[in-house]
Amino acid sequence: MRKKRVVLCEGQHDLIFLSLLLGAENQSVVSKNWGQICGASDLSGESVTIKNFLRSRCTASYLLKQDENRNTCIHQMWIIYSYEREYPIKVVLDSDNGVTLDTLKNEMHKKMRKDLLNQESSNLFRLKKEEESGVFLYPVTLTKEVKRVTGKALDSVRGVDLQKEILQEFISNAPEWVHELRDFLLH
Amino acid sequence: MTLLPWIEINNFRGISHLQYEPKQVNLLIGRNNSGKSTILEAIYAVLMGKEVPTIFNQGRYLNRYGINVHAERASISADNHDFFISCSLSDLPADFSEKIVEKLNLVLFHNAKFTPSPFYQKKFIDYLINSRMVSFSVLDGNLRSIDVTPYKGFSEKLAADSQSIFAGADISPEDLQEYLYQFCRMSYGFSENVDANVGNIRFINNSDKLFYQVTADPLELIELDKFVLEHNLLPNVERLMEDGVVYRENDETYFLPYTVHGTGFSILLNLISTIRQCRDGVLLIEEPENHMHPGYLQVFVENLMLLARKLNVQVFLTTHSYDLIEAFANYSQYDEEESVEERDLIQITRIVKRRDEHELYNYTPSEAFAEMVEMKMDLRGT
Repeated sequence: MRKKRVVLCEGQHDLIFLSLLLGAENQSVVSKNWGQICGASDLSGESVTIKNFLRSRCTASYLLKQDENRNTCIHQMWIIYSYEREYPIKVVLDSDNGVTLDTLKNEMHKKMRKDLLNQESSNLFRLKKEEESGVFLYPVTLTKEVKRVTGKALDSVRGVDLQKEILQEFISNAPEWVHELRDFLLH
Repeated sequence: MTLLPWIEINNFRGISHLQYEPKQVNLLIGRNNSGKSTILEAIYAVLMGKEVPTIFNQGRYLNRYGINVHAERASISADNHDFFISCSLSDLPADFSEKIVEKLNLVLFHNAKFTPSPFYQKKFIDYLINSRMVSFSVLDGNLRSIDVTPYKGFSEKLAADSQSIFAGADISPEDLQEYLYQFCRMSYGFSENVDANVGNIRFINNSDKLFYQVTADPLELIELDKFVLEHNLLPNVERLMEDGVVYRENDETYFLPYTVHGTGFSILLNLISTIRQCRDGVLLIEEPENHMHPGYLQVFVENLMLLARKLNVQVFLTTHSYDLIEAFANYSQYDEEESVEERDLIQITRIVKRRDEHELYNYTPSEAFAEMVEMKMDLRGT
């Protein structure tokens, strides 16, 4: 059975972007939004979603979850970390000029009461005891970076297919940090 | 009042090191082999001086266990942060064990209300050394100076028991060990609320729950009778008797023994009855949810909370039941007047075993509720 990994991200654009990035590497992906997770069970939808993904009959290697910009990824990451897991957890977020990193560290100290982060680069923080798990922070907001590279505004495009096209074009001309993100997701 | 506010366990069964701050009612959750039952057994062992009786060990005493295995030593800290350890004297450096014997002499005889003759003093110390077990207190690796003040308040029962031990009365070596353990535990000023009467420390494991015996005490029977009627546990109940239940239906009464009643009903009565016997003590229950309908679980939780507070019982429960966790997490959720104080009594602790280390995550009921409902997590573990 292929190794299974769970990826948390913030919104629909991230979800499409990460799916395309992994798809280009022939990785199979299951994606879920927060509504689908809540719908899985009144009380333990998160756990049910994970359990279904981990079952052997689910052949996908990646579970991508987006929280519909509810800003809960960091909180949830440390909660999930505190459970026994058999899978690496990867979080991909906008750095938001350093605010995200501060929140990440504050939540870590509050919940875990110790420093678990190992900084590998300005964008990448792996967990000390579980190197496959970690957090990647986009150096620039994804939509801004897409606009800069492709000249197209992702926000103003409504159809998913069109968004995919733009993001595909972005990946084809990707800046260096996208390669680093790809490595993080794969290893 | 919380009898055990701080617990430390070292090298006991599967737990290498663990620190835990329990509250009055504690729910331990986690996967199999995460250490839930071990915590209960460590508490029982340190309070009783012997292992929890199971079909595998027949209630072996810690001295045998510790000496034979050499790896299993229990240490637990009371509210004064003293350590209580059980170990073999032969494992210690000679000069250190001599100091222990010296201190034992001091504690056991020089300041005691009862003073056996030198012949029995020697016999007793010899017995301790030959049995290769002694319970004592250490602080930072050294015997602390022993304060015998708390010892002076010992119950007469313990003194009488000890007298009879020294007088060569008909007491088995196992009982002697248990008394000795209680004696030493008390002599180091363990909470005064845990007296020498070991009856107020109860461990209900899975097999115990099934063997229900209603008390012959008529007052206790009346209380249980009231309980069954109040909660409508069985329809048409007229009266609870020592050996069964009297029913009334259409002006006719008939009697049915407990053996024909359901297991869940018997277990619920058993649990409630046991809590009532633990006044000012500690109650340890493994998986109370077994065989019980979720409706009975709600009744159980409500009464557990009521009695734990009223009778000052510290309760430790293990569970795999979502219904039980939910019942505690929801406790007093909608009763604003009582909720704050009562919820402060409850602690839900999730135990995670990660690379041989045990991590504890404590929740108040409202935190547990938030993680379950808002974050959609299954507190029992994924």
